[in-house]
Amino acid sequence: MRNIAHRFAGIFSVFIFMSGSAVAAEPQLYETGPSEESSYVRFVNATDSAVAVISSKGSAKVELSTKSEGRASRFFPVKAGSKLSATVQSDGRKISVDVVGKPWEYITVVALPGSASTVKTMLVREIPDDFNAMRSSLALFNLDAKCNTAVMLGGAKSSTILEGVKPFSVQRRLVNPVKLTVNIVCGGESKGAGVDFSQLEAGERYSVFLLPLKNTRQAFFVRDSN
Amino acid sequence: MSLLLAGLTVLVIGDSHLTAPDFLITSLHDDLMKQGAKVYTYGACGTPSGAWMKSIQPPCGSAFRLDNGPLRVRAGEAGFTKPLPELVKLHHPDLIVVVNGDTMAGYKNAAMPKPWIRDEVRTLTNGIKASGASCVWVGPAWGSEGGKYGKNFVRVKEMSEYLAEIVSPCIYVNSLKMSKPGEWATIPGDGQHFESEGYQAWGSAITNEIVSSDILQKIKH
Repeated sequence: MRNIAHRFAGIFSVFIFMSGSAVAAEPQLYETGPSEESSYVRFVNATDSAVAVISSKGSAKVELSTKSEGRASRFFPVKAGSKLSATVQSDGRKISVDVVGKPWEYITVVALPGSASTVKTMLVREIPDDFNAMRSSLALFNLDAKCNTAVMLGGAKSSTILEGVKPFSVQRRLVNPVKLTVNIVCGGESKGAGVDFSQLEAGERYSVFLLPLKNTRQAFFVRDSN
Repeated sequence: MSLLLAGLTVLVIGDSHLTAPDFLITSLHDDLMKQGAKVYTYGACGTPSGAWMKSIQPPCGSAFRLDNGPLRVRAGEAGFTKPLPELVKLHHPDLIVVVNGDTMAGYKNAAMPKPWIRDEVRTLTNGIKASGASCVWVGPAWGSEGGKYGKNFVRVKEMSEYLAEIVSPCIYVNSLKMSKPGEWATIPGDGQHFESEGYQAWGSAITNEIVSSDILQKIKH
């Protein structure tokens, strides 16, 4: 997995060695940020079959299973503005995908069932602004084209945590790090898909995905990582 | 002398503000010692927080000072840093003081690199958590607008507010409350590094903040 990050782009700052006396009162000039701006790309399997994502040069591969814990990859850093090209394969079907991210944008590439001959992909983009080490970040990704507005309900009083999430979009908010079970419902419907986070951890970021599988709405969550 | 600080071992790590004579490696170090603490200070110029979890060669040198020993400044290969776990094994600190912010704020970037900053900070706070020591994180001071680093008041305020949200479990020390914007003079053309009077004032204000912070009440003597 790490190879992909290296192949697609490096994000780490390059320390430029500068010789000379460090005894001078004024330090020599250095960077006050990363050496380049990054974006982050991950892949999610929203199909009934296993999915493989292969880099354009064929040398790096991400495999996504149909089990909840194996449906999503981690976020791979990609130099902002650079094109990431890959092929998404499933059940002998495949499609090419090109992704270009803005600085500090997080992009989720979703593999969908598509047709008998091809897989379909959709991109969900977000530039999060809610990093916090004392609270937990919860996101709801609505990957169901037939769910016009997804809602996340949770807590003892089944309060609304997130609402109005349109198909192939995301909403995110900070919550306190508590024990939490949520229910994801589509606007106007009473039956939903449950997700049990158990104990949320402070500083962690979570994504919940709502998707239709075998004509049933299902939901699962992952911890966002890169 | 502070009854709460006396007898504690304090490890101070951070960026360029700790790498030259008359900087915080002198003023903050001296002030903490005057409060009765055993103090070990290490500075790595131009480095983001995460760099403290490995040995690196800082882009503009490093420095250290071991308790009442002399200031040692290192450049080139001699400047390679000791990672935090190694420093913890060496000094067994009760309290770790991190002075870091300016090297990550991206003063010349249109957008502040929040995800990158968060990753850098988290890398270090995870290491601090593993060490078992208590922690205080000192954010950037105002400085002067302009200068070769592009320091500006809007971004330094944004950076300080952001650090306050992401440095837990460290207690955040807001340096912006310690002076007015531009009050502490910076080296001409620099904007980020202070004249010695500024470092004296900053070191004294940080020490006062640490002495009065709840964190010291929680550290067992």
